[in-house]
Amino acid sequence: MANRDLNSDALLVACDAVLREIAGYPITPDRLNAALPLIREILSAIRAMDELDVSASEPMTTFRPVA
Amino acid sequence: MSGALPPSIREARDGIRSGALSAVELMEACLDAADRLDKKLNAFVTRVDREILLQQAADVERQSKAGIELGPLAGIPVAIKDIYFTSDLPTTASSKVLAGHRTNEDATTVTKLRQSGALIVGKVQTHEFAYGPTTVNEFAGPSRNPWNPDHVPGGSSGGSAIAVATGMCLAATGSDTGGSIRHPSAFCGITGLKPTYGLVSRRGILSLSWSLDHAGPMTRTVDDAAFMLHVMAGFDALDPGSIEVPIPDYVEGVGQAPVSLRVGIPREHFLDLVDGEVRKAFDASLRALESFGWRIEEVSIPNLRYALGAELAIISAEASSYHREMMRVRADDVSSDIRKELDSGMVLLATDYLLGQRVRRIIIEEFRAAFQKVDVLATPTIPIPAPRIDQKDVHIAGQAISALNAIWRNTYPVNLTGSPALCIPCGFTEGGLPISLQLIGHNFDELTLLQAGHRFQLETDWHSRMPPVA
Repeated sequence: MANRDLNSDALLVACDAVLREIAGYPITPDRLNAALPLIREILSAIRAMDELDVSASEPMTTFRPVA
Repeated sequence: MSGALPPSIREARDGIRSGALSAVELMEACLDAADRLDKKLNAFVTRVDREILLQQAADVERQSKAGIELGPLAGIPVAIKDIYFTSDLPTTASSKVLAGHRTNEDATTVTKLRQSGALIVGKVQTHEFAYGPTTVNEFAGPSRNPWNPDHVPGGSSGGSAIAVATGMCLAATGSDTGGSIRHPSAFCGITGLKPTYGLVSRRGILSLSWSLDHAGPMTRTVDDAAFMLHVMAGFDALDPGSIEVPIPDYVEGVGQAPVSLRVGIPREHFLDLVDGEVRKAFDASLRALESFGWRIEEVSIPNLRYALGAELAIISAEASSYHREMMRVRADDVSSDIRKELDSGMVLLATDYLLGQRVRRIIIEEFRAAFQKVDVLATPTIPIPAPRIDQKDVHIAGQAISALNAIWRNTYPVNLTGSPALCIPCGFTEGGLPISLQLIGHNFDELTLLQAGHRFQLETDWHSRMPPVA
């Protein structure tokens, strides 16, 4: 289920780890701190989608509208 | 021609061909408007030299007098958003990172515009890298709304809208990933068309988000948009998203208004948070549509509340992927608001990106179901009038909401679906700021949208007003 209350400290540590250890995209603590409110906002909107049943929906990985 | 309404593209085309209108004088009027207003409004990044443009306009006149067949936009002054490649002008995306950057080639659409005889007057400001709805930039400075320079012009195609609204050109190009053609068109009181994804080539246009980016025209009137779309549309094998479909004659067809039209009003999302003056203008617009004999009915798109998550997952991941290498080496030269966006997209999970794409399919299916019942959907383009440049929050029905979130609330869902969307002026606030109506159509049925919008403009005069600054 959606968890919209993201713990700031845990999020900061997690993002730092993802960027440094997984993405190979280390950024300074200042930059990460500056981005954190936006990251929280984006993740909150993304986690809201967990409420929706997408089990029958294939991703639009190649997006082409149907005429 | 200070403050005078510029001719429509149709009037200019016919006038130049008959000799009743001088292409040179038309160009001089546009250049004079830019000379007079650009410093105040910050529309242009780069302008083409005056003498070159007057020479090009004189060439058009000579060709016309010599009986040489002219292209459909011969002699029409057109501005190009500064993310479209141009062989003769830098393409900077209004960013310090790309200052002076030259591509030495034209975007496919720029090639088409040149071949049509359009005269490119310069490159116009965008929110940096097209990643924002205001065109208030740290590096390039704030662009300003011609109806009130203390307010934002909207973005990201802000320079395009300012230039069209003030007569610095007769048309401009824009791009739209979450509403970037429609926001500035709405805030500056002009017409904007986001065509169906795949109808207009994206080749040679800097990307923000590959699967959400659309290129399209921004003009004073719907009739003008038909001229621009007619030139810009068409299959391009060099654009992986391009789709080969028959292209109708928009220029000839735009005047044939549908006798009957079913207009759907979405029950969810689009009218949930709307400023009072915007709602009043929207309701008046619906009454006008009804007076044409068109039927208004409610439709349901039940899962729209998940569209924001899908849009953010997709745009954030795709934009950060596109700019990844640049951010490794030039992040310090990127404006702070854009740097935050691009850093944020780096921490998203691949599974969340795909969740967004799965939700996107559900929303597309719901739009398709709605379009079984109606021909177009109508919504306010933006729920609020243009906020002040320094304004962070707006209040709607006593509820505080971030201005940035309010601006794109009614536009981003249509980037997910790829549907065509036309925005047209439909009123003004008491403070003199434009209000806009959005019409959303079936995929690749731009013609019906243009016909409906043109019919609206035949009966209203919101599109025929010049900003006081002009």
